[in-house]
Amino acid sequence: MASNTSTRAALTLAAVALAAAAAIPFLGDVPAASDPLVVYCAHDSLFSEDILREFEEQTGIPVSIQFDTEATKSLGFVNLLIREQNAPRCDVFWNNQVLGTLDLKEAGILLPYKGKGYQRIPDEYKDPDGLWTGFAARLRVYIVNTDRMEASPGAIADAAGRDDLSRMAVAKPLYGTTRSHFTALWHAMGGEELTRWHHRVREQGLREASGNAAVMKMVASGACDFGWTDTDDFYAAFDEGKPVDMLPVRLDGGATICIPNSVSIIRGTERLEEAQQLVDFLLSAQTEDALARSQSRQIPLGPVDTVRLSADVKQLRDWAQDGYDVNSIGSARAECLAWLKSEYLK
Amino acid sequence: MSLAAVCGWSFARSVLVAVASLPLCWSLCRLLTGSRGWVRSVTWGMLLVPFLIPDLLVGYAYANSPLDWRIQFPAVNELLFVILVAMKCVPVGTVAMFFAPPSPISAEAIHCRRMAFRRAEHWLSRWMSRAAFWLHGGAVACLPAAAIIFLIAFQEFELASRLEMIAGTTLTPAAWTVKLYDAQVGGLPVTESLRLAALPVLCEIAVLLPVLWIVIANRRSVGMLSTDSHQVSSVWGGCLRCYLAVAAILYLVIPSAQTLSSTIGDAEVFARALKLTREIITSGVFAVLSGSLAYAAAAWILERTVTGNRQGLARLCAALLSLPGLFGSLMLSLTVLYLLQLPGLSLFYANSFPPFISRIVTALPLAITLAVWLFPRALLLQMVLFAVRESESLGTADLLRDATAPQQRHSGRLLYWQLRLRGHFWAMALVYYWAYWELTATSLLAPPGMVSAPARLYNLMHYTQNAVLSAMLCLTILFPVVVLVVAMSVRGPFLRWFVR
Repeated sequence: MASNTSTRAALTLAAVALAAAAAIPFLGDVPAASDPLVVYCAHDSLFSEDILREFEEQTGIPVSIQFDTEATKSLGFVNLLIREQNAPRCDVFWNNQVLGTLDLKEAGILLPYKGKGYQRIPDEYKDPDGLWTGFAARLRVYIVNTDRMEASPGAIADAAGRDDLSRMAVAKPLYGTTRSHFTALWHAMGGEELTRWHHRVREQGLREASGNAAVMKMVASGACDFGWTDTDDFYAAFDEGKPVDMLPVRLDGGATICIPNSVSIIRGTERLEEAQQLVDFLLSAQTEDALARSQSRQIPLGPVDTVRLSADVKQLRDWAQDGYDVNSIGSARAECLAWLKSEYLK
Repeated sequence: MSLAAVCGWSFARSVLVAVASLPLCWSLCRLLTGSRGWVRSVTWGMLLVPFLIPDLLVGYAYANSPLDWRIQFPAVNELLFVILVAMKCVPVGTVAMFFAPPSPISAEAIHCRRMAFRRAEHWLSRWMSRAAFWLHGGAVACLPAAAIIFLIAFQEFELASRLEMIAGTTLTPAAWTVKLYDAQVGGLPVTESLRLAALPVLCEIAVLLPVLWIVIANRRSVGMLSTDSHQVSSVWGGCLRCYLAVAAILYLVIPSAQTLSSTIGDAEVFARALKLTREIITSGVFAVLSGSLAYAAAAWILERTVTGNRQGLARLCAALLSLPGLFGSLMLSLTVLYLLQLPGLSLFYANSFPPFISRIVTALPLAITLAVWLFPRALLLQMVLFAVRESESLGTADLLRDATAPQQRHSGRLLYWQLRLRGHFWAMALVYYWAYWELTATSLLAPPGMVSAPARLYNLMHYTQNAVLSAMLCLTILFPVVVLVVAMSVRGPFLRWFVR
């Protein structure tokens, strides 16, 4: 009898495991029998998923989305794509910035495409060879707790000039748009000066958080007085009624740091036509308009119906006119990343 | 801080947590053995709460509050982390001690030893004698418990990641797991990550090997710790119950209140949170698949350690199969990630098959990794069940099941359920639950489009704390509860088939 029970136990476990294994093909985000377009998406899933599902609905092309780990943002995907270059799984890469995409371009992983979407984006936000195209940008801004200090350039300069910087917060610069920010600083200030500045502010007690959203929370809650973040994170706090205001971060010379999303097709894709359709969809006025109207208030780079834009986005668009040229970063990108890795990943 | 420094810090903290937790675990064991009836059930329930509440829920609650103190005083952030980790480890240490074999050295033997050598020996000899007694007696219970506590504290990832903060040049809490995970997803080649992981692995081996030896050597004598002669005083018992209440408040009440306050009663918020259904089901399916594999493998091996003529070999196999899982899911996932890039195994990674087949093939590495990670847990649970089973009563149940009267057969089935199956049911539920909430392996190894609920929540938690996210967390917590209730409700028909 005991052996009968053991057999039944083994059968039960086997049946449960088999049933679970049989369910696996139906788990994905697209029907099991379809061969979906695989999109690696580093943009916040809160905003990007609806856009991609809209594409699915309009075209009937199933899309399987892989979101990045938010802690490491696009850097995780860039490395993954480099690792996978001999057997790519991804067809289209939607990056939430440009830096990593430039690395992929250098590694020869991207396919050129100059479709109708490419044509509507200004030159400073796209690759001349069509290997990537920017759209819907964010700005790097100072987020200020208005209960603690005034949101003016003078007040920020005073606060940033103090010996004690424990009331200022930034995200760990190894990842995300803070890395773009540091790369722009590297380009503008020079590596030596930036390294010196970074060591000095750390000695002065600068607070570093895991990401821009954490910086926003620290400032919005009053744990810090001000910090660097992105416009979308600022609006998350602003919409919750937190006492916050913002000012654009400006480099020496007055340029703002405008960081567009970028989209590119991965070399080796077997679904080139569908990939091109998705790229055109993402670069369309419809998508830029949708992202501008979302909570993140992303700045349309191409021509859109300005009457439909909110006052917030119009203001951001004005600041973005002063944006530094993304294509000009050149060697600063690799040098800055090497330095950041030596600081944070040793 | 370099990885070596962070690893050293993690090691020191984990040793501190293990050493500081042991007396508490010992006292809680005595409290449990001295309790009866519903008091005992409540004590067990409160004890297990911190270990069963998902780290994501706790991290979600404390990463956002109280910010001021945590951010301006790094020591407070470190202290909060240490307290939370210690509270999570205490239940495991207590359970490990509770089910540790009784000391082979009796109280009388200790007394005789004391009497015989009270004045005669040099102080060094006395201490060595005491150490030898302890090693053959109390250490059998304490060392495995301390080692398990050390491992849990040393491998902590989710809480450390959620609470991480750099204040000037001070990183708190410094955890090697977060550093290594960030390095890996931040671009370090897997081979380099594995090279960096050598130091933490060595730390773990140094703790694991002696303890595995003790566990395996005492495999036959696993049983309930005898603590009858050391009942806790009523004052100390009250203090212990206060501790359990504080732990339950910190782990259950505060995080639940934070999560539920913005969601409760808001149907629209819950409707929007249903977007997470696919991820929840994905987690559930992988949990059931990998949990069943791990549990079946553990049962198979365990059976062979007590029957047949190759018991020694079976014990060795059990120890070897347990090792990868004991190093934690991060190490395991990194190793699998490395293996998947080898030419022969890359088919498990890329879309080399028709879509339907490809889904299964690319999901296998995650399912197997989870099963390997769960194996030592499943083995330990079954060892405990084996130790506490009542063979004589089971014989009675068997007789009743063979009776001709339907009523007696029914009673036999119920008795069999209570004596044998109920333990396995809850043990399997626990194994599935662990797999369901596993974050590291699922975020590193999941195929495209198959995101697990914890991985998705972990990502979303980086943005903000809002009602929809809280509702998603509630749904993710509720899902296993609902499945458990359903499983309990179909117990009757299952029993009729299973126990014939």
